[in-house]
Amino acid sequence: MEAATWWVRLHSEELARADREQFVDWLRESPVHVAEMLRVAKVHNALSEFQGWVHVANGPDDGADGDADNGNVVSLPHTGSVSSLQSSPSLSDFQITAGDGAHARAPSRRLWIGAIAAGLAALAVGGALWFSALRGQTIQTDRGERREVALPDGSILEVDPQTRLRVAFDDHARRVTLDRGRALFRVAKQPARPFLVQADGTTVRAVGTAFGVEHGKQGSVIVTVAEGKVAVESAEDAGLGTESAGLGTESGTVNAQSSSSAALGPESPRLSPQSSALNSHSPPPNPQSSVVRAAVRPRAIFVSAGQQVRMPPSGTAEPVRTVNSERELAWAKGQLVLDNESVADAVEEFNRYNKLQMHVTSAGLGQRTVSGVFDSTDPESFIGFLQTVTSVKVTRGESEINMQ
Amino acid sequence: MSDSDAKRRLSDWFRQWQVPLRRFLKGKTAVPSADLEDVAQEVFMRLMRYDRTELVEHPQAYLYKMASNVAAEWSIRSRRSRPHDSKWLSDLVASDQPQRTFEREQAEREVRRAIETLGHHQARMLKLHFFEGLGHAEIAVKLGATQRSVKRMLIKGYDKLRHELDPGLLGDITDGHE
Repeated sequence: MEAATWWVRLHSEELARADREQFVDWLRESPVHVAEMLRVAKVHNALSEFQGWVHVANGPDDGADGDADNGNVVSLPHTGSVSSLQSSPSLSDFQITAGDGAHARAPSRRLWIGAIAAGLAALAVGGALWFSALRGQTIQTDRGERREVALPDGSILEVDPQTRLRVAFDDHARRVTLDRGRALFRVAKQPARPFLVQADGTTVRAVGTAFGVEHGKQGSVIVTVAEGKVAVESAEDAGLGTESAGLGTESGTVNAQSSSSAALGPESPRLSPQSSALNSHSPPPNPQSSVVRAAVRPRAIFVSAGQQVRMPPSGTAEPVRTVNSERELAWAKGQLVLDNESVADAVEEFNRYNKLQMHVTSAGLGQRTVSGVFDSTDPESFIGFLQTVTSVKVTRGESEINMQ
Repeated sequence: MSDSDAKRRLSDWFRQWQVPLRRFLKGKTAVPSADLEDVAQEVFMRLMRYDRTELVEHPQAYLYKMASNVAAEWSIRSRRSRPHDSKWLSDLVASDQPQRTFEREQAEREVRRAIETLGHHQARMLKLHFFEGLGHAEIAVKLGATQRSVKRMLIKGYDKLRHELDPGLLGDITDGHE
């Protein structure tokens, strides 16, 4: 209804600045609003293009000015295709009687073409539905592919290469299962519907915050929080994430504190509008209740902005560490932060982000350690850097670079 | 005089976004109905990245321009790398002339069916608006109603048809007819 209201208003009046601001804010609330607005435009177009208005009844109370209506009919500009249809008596007949059940009289050849066309159309529509249904549930990225995805609730995911996650929303909870890889979650606030991210045996609960979840080495799961606070539980504590829907109120209090300093900060312009929106909607801090709730569920680990926890595949979680979350989540901005990493590991990381694959053929070079911040999609800058610190022989192929 | 000023302002206002709207609906940059959800998602992301102050100047112009840009970019990308996606299918279908005629007739039937689900008043009002090109004030006079109630009925009409019309049956009958 809102989209239709905006459409009619936009068509009939010049909106004041305050109204336009309201419209922009409404559009930026959810991709669903954007889709609705685009759809209303399609409806408008279908009605504008509709050729059969002349056959639409004027209503029982309006017999008197029927002539006046017909007068307008004559002056209506017709499109070329309709004129050509009207030049042929049989097609013109078809056109006028279509929808009245009389189109069975149309020539059989037309029906035959129609049947094939209908089959093709059904294939196209069916295909499209299948695609969108699949996309609604599973998000998958390949090597060299990073995706930014908006969910229907307005939450935004930064999905790293070689990642697969599944999304399932219902009235009680928003669930995401991270099968592999890593993603940064900027969760839109919905206190009644906690946002649950499950990765292996770990469940992360959030209401409105920003955090990264990644599959680390040796089967561990790493949770890094950029804004706000999340509760991290192992599968047995969270009931495998499937019974957590009833915990909405609890996670609401757990996440009542939202940091005002976005860890991804001002240097991340494309994310900052969302983070400021999240912060402006934060409820007032209520540390007391979160402590009380924490006592109720002693095994949940609370991770705040600027903190990270590593959950091993089994056993107890490692202690929560204070980290530079901007640095730890730099991957979500397409950056690779190398901190005394071997060239071999660095090359492996770069290769995940790029079609162009690098290979290190000398063991000595592979073991050398490097530090620095690089654009993950620019392996050339990394090679350039290596060449400044050591002697590297570079051989370039069509889709690969060998270094020794 | 102030009346004509207001009319001129309104027509300027229209011009600012009617062009992007037409690009979104018609021609090579038209957004196929089947891709609408995906396009909306990408437009949403772009709206989030864009400066709010700038968006507020001409929100609808930005909205439809972004949508047709996304569609154009995707169609280029899909031609290069994804030959089997739905856009390719709809391109294939649209190039077939008997198919286009069939789609047009199918769309006509679907719009007619949807309009028949409306009440007499609503259908009549839409007819006055779309067929006779009357504005809210003129419709109000003709129907003996207030402008406010005409507007309300128009909104309800759009909303009802938005749910009633099957986008798959509407096809993209105006593609290539800018």
